[in-house]
Amino acid sequence: MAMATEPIAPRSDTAQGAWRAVLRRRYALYLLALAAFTSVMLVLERVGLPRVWIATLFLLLPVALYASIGWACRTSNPMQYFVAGRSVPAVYNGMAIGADWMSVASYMGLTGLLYTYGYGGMAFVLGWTGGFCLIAFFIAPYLRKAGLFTIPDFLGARYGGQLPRLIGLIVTSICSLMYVVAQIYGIGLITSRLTGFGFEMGIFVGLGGMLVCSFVGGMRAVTWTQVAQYLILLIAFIALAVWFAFKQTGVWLPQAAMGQQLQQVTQRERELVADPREQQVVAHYRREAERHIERLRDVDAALALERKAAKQHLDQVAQSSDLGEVRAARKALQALPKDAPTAREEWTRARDDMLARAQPLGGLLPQAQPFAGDPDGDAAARERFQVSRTEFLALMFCLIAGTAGMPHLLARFYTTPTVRDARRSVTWALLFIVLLYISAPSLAFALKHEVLHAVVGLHFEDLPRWIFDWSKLYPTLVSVHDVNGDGVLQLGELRIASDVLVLAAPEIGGMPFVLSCLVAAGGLAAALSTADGLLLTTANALSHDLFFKVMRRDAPLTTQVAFSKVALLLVAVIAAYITLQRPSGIVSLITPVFSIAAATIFPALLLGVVWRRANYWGIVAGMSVGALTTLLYMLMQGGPLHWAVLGAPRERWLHIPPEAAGVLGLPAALLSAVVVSLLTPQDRAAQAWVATLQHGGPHSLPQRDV
Amino acid sequence: MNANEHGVGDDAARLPGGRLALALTAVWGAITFVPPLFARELGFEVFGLPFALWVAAQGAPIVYVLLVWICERRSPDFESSPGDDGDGH
Repeated sequence: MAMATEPIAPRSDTAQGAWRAVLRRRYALYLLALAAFTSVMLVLERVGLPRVWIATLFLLLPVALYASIGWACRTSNPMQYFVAGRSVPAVYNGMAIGADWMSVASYMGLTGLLYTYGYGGMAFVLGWTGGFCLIAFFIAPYLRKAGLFTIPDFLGARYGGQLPRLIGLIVTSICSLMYVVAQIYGIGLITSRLTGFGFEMGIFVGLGGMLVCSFVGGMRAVTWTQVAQYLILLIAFIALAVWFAFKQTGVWLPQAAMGQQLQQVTQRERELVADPREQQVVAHYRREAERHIERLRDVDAALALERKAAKQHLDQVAQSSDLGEVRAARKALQALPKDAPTAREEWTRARDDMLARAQPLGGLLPQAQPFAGDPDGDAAARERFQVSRTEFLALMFCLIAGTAGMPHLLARFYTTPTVRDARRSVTWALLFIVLLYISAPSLAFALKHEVLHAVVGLHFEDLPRWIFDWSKLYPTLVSVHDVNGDGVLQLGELRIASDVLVLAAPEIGGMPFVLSCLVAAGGLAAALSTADGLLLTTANALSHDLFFKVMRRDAPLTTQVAFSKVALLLVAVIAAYITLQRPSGIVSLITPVFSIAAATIFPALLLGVVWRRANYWGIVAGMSVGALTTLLYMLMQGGPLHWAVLGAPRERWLHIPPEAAGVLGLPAALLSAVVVSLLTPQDRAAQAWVATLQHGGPHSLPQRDV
Repeated sequence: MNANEHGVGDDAARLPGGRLALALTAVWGAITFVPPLFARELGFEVFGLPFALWVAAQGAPIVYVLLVWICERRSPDFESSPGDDGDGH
């Protein structure tokens, strides 16, 4: 079928060289403009331009820029729309992958995790970079060689038939949808903090910028916007890490400052653990936890008792004339749980929350200590250590395999001119990603350093402004509460949700307001770039794999593009709707996605490339078993995906946390794929196709559309 | 050769650059999984950080970049493919 109607990838070396020169010029210009804009804003802040203006300009101008890049790249050419004309040089594809990959979870979530869980957060650093090795060794070059359009497309071509393609499509859609919800949630957080827009309004502005891009220009527009977004997100993040490193240690390089920062943090942590006022706070939370434990012993009786007490109180105050008091008493009665199951749920949550707070350092693990518990301590400490280590390894395993099977990331490898460029773009991408990931620990240590030294121990009336600003806007994310009534802030009395740490970092460090805006703009770039890639991946899969390959095989390619645009709008609206229900947090939304991808797409791609004998029924069985194992374990275990129909959360199996269910799903998928493949007849055509994929020269890959 | 006669490992080794990829995977697996397994034991200091922490924060990510780079440089060229000349498949 004829595909290209307009000139696409420049083929010759001279044309490639000229094309690269154009790109270099354009992005150099962009960087200059960014620097100039930031400097002008710094001057305007000095002169006294209202903050709201600075913030709005900082958020709207980049979004307008992304939208205009998107508009300039508008296309209806299928080759351009689906795979950017396969003309993206390796370095730029590397940057685009970097932006595609680093979402709000990397930009905002990761540093917060490292702050909150210490070494535990490293599972994300290792998982989200380590997976790229598997991609480079076994997946990216072969995907590019197959030269198709989507990941389900590869499964369809490799295994034949419709089922592998359809299962791939379903998994791709579910993963991308959950992932995109996390991004839109991040967009809402950023815009509502910095501008006067509310959470909802922020979502729609962000969504608008994102849609202009992917809607009018598909992969081509998304690619060139992502390069711009990568640059701004990296610059903002590194600026933050460098500022803190220099401020705290006098060393410019965050990676070199880390050791000193950590030692100062550890020193201060020891002081705080021994501080009697911190211990008072811990004792208070323990009493609260015990109160909930007592209530949970007999929920019905406790609830009846509390209801009776609240009613009595209401009757008492009803006699008095103080209306405010009556209203408060009525509210207290209404606030009681409706029935016993609700009460059990609420009190269990409150108990776990209090138990987590009733630890030294406000429940934060010591920054330098790997894992909780103690391998040489008593039985309980040994158990805690084992559990903590198992959770780390299971999570890391899922993140690695999930990375190597993440559809929106892998689709980018179709966009390079050659297989060699696909390989090269993995190296560039990983380098660009690692630049941020090895700065995140330093930033986390720096923030801990700042909070422990400069915030804890202040009198409540002297607390910095950011605490009040944030807690007024999002009381669930940031709060202070003088538990022991001494008028001084203890670490245990301060709560900061890990998602807001990076956004608040410039204020925590006392930087100019313009830097807060730059960091927010970087976060917005991270969210928008990933969301763009995700929306496009889902829409393309729906259009190419469902509409074209399954339903209307005679549809012209231009109709596919039109269909993809409709699907894009639809997915965006669904995602925005889900986000408006206010999900629980960025990372808890994203981790299950990695487990699902690890147990389905990853084994299907890996076996598809390395094992010729893997066949249609094998992979159908493998992907189904992998998906079912993972989902069932998550649904039974509680956590964000717990499904009440399956009963109360069960005991964990081998200490595996629900979000890391992929550690069970992946082996199950591999095992069933191998067994079923060996039990069913060989597929000669598929074997020939893989042989060509592995060794054959150009243009010899046989057509395997069924 | 009958594809039935060899298993997954043999097939992987037969990929272009397959032996290299398997060797790199072994190095990758060692640096990824061993330090977390023995994180408490590997507590001696490197650049002011406990070793396992340093590996996770800087060492392993940098080694990953090197491994991927070696794979890119040393893997045999195989070119492709339908689609990249603009003809579609």
